[in-house]
Amino acid sequence: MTTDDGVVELLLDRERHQALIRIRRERHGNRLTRAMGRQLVAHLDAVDADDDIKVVVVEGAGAHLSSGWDPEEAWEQYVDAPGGAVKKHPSQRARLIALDDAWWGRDGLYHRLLHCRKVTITKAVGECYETGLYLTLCSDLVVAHENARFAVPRWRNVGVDGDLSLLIATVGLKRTKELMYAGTAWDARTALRYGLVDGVSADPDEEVGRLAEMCASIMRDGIVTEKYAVFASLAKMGVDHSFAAATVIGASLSNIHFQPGEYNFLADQRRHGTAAALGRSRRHLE
Amino acid sequence: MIDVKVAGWVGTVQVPDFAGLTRYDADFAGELRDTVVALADDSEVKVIVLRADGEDFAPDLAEVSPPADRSATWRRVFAGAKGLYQSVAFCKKVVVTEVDGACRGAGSALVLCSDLTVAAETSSFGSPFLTTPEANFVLAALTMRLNRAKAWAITGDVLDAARAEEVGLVNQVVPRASLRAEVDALADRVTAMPLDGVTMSKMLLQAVLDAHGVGRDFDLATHYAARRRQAEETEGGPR
Repeated sequence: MTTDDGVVELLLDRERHQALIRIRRERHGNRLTRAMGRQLVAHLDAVDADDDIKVVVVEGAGAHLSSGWDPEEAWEQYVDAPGGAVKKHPSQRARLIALDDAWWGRDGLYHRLLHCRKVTITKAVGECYETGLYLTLCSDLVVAHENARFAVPRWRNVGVDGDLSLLIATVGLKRTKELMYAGTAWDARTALRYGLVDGVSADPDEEVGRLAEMCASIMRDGIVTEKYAVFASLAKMGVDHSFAAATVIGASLSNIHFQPGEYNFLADQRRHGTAAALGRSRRHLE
Repeated sequence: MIDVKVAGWVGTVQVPDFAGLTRYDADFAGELRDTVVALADDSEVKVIVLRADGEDFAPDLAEVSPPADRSATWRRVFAGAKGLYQSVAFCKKVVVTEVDGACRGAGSALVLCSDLTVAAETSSFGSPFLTTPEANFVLAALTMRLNRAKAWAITGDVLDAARAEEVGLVNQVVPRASLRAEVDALADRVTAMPLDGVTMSKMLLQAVLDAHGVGRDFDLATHYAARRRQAEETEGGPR
């Protein structure tokens, strides 16, 4: 398997003031590669710069929104970062830069989606794991299919390396801790009850379409004004602080020592391949 | 009085109940605090379970006042940075509370400080804020949301188990007969995370809790205790 076989599409419908960003890597559960993450960010930049667009919908092609980021690149992302290939093991600065650039920093995917100036609507379908969960958290509105499931299985393998402020603000502290420590997956109804999604539907396309039409009818100035009010609240909530903390802890967690008997995903991946390691490490979610 | 077992990465702390905290029994609280700290430092432990084997997790007690609000013992054992509540809230390991029966006063303060809570269907939760100045309101607001935390604090309503789950105060509600097994199963699930991962995840959480003002609210316990004492003296009661 190569990691360059995915694409993120951008479709613009200026007459209806709507954009669609679609993740296409169906054979791999729409697991995001670094290249796809960069495409997604570039599309958000394009949408933000287009005055005819008021609403952007994010979705995955096929059965899943996204079942995570691609573990094939778990090591390369650090090696390729500045200072990553100087010694045998990537430096700590390379790990920090890689995580900041890809996910949590100002140009990272989650920061960029969270600070999009247009209304963002995510269609959550099937596995919404890791990247899928944070696309959900960073969107303004979320419609989930009845089959949607939300989890971060990687945390069970290494520890928690994602933002907690948004998660706590959205679902509450103890539920956040359940996701952090207990290897839990929430189904769509649970996600709705906890406030992670705004609606659950057997036909999410119809509901997403209705929401997009409604949001596209709002005045441009009104949308952008409301979005900046949200950005001010996010700053007050300490989300930037939490994103930076996630980068620091994430870089440290890429360097942990395993105790005898503890499951080591990367070792499993080296020995048995990505598919086998993913299957084994996610079996508890079935 | 405090029974401790360590097996399979889980440290289980068993007591008859936690009413000693509501009574401000400094010996009990100090021993419990030391036990939690020792388990947090134990490299064979990832999860700490706080379990009461009596009828109630923390039964209701007649009016009990905290010791003089500037008491060194009270601050050292209960309210201060090295006291019991902050030792639980900022513990390096995952703390699980197992609740059956009545959970009142200090029991609810302990539940707020713990990471995960499993409750029996027969359990109920009284607000700690009228009786326990060490109870952390910021934790309650983050856990239940601000409006619910305010209502709980002001009305002193007792939440039944189902309502406690609905508002996010507990993670799971289970039949009384299976409570222990469910807690053990949850603790076992947590142990799948690497030991380094558990500790670093707690560091990340601590940074976020600090940013939300959890530590600052613990610092206000002295103020809350003084207000309570003043109310008792001038109005004949905490309200």
